[in-house]
Amino acid sequence: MSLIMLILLCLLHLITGLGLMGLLKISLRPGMNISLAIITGIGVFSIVPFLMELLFIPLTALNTWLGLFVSTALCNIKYKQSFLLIRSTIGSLSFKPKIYEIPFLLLIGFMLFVSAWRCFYFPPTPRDLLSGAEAIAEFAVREKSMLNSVFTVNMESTNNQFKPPYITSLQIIYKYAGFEFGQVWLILLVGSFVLFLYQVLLKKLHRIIAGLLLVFFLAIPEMYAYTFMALFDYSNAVFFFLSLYFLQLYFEDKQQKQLIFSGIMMAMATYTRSETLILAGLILPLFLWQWFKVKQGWALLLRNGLLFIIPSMVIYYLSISLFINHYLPVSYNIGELINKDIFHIHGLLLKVKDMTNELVFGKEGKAYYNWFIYLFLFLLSMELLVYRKMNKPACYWFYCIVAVYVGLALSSHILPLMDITHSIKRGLFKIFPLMLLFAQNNRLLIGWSNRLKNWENPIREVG
Amino acid sequence: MGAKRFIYQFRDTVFKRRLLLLLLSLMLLVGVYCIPTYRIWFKETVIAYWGNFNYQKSKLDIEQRKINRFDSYYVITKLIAASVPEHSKEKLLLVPASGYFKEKGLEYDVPEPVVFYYFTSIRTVWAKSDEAFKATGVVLVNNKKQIVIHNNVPSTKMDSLVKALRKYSYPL
Repeated sequence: MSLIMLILLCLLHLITGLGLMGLLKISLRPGMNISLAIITGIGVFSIVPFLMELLFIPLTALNTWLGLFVSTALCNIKYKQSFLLIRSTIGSLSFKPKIYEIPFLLLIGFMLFVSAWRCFYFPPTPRDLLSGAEAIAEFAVREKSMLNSVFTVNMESTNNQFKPPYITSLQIIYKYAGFEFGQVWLILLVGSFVLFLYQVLLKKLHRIIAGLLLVFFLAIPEMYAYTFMALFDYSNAVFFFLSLYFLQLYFEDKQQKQLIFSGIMMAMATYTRSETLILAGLILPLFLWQWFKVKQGWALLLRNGLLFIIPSMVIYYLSISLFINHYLPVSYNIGELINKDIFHIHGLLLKVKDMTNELVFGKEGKAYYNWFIYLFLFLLSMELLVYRKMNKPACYWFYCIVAVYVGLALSSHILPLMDITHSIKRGLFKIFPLMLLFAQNNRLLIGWSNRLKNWENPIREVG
Repeated sequence: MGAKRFIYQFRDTVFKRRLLLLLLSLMLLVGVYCIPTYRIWFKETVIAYWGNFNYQKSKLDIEQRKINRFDSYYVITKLIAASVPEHSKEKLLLVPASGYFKEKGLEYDVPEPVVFYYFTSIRTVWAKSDEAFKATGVVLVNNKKQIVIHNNVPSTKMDSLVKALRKYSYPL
């Protein structure tokens, strides 16, 4: 029964996501379309119960399902376009793995299965979830509102009730679907994301190198743990990565639809973790860089920057400013959480130093992230020492990596509650998919890939 | 004839090379496994989790799964809730810190009030809170190391209890 419901919800996410992608005329390779659509569908659904709460619609099972069907219908309002995308995606879908990638696929599949089982089997565990989103969702199902009796309990020990309602909404949907512990949406999100990443890597790298990189990525201990323990950071990393991926496509192709989709994904990332707005701000200089290269005019620069950042600001306003200040029955003064000595640059530099010492080069660093950061540093040094110049995409991803790293330190400097040992440690999840994309554009790996491809298929050498 | 032979030879070459690439894939994976940090992590997490799979798939009861995951944190909390009389479930209950239970010989990692409520629908409060003085019941441990719920505690006695229990800190 659970499996049938999971498949049905997966289909609903898929149709919703493909609908939204069809509206924006976003189309990639078939396998990428499917994984992207499921992630997008999860994102759309995570907003539905929240919007219903904003509109004072009781969160009964019937209303929630109706809300989901309406959102699916709205995303597929241009049904002919959606149908075409669905047909072309399914029609050209094929899975023909090469014999030598099977060991990687088996290992990745095994790791994902183990994670998926734990995600299904165990109740939500992280303290941040139990004392916030999960408790609110559980009582929302009983009392038909997110503003429920949980807020009558003494909450001096936590501020998790003030996190954006991304997980609360998804938990409500999945609890209504019959999953006592909710959280199995994470299986779909993680599986789709890994599938998407693999296909992105295959664009430029040989399957062996792509498979190996993905194994290294999945074997980041701290990140793997959050593939089965529902919390905000993994979802945040997924949406943040997708935003930057589509932004890069926009910079390459100059198609506005990609910029709009990037903005929507950044809004989703902000919805999962509100501090992402700071990182989105640090991505904005990329528009200036593009502007210097193309010299398009100030108006266009401003318009593009706004298209990227406005969706994030809107969702921030709705989920934080409006929801917390005007809906929640308890008050929360975010201003009080801001560092009073915000312009003390030395404090920011200290944060960067502490992050580097503790999370990158410290003993815990390897326990948290294994050798993944070192792999990136090796590839970076190869790029700089051997090739002495980065190609454009590598430059782009390198900038994004630096922006996230500095941005996290800045977030922790602005909001001291974001400590290095918890929030920043998990915040760094955002950096790893970016490092993967840096590796995808690394000349050393591309060179090896080309040699492997040529050797595997001698015709290529001639051709 | 020549073209056919060429195609066969070509396919043969490609197939052989792919087999060699398969060997390379396996060697690379073994190589990753030979790196100590990866080997230890893989054994302690993925393989260990897989080892529990057969047991877990035969124990699908919801309560059992909660007990497997949370252990005494959950079990003792539920026992406390079961001891609270029905008419007192709406009232505020004072729960001492984990240090208090440890001193009395019990290993109980006390959940914060919102988690206690999530598990049991009973409102609790920690002694360090000013709200603790509003509690009408308290969870204590007797000389036989048994957890006892005291209901309808007079406010003067509750005041002194709260003050006494504040010496135990509540780590998160």
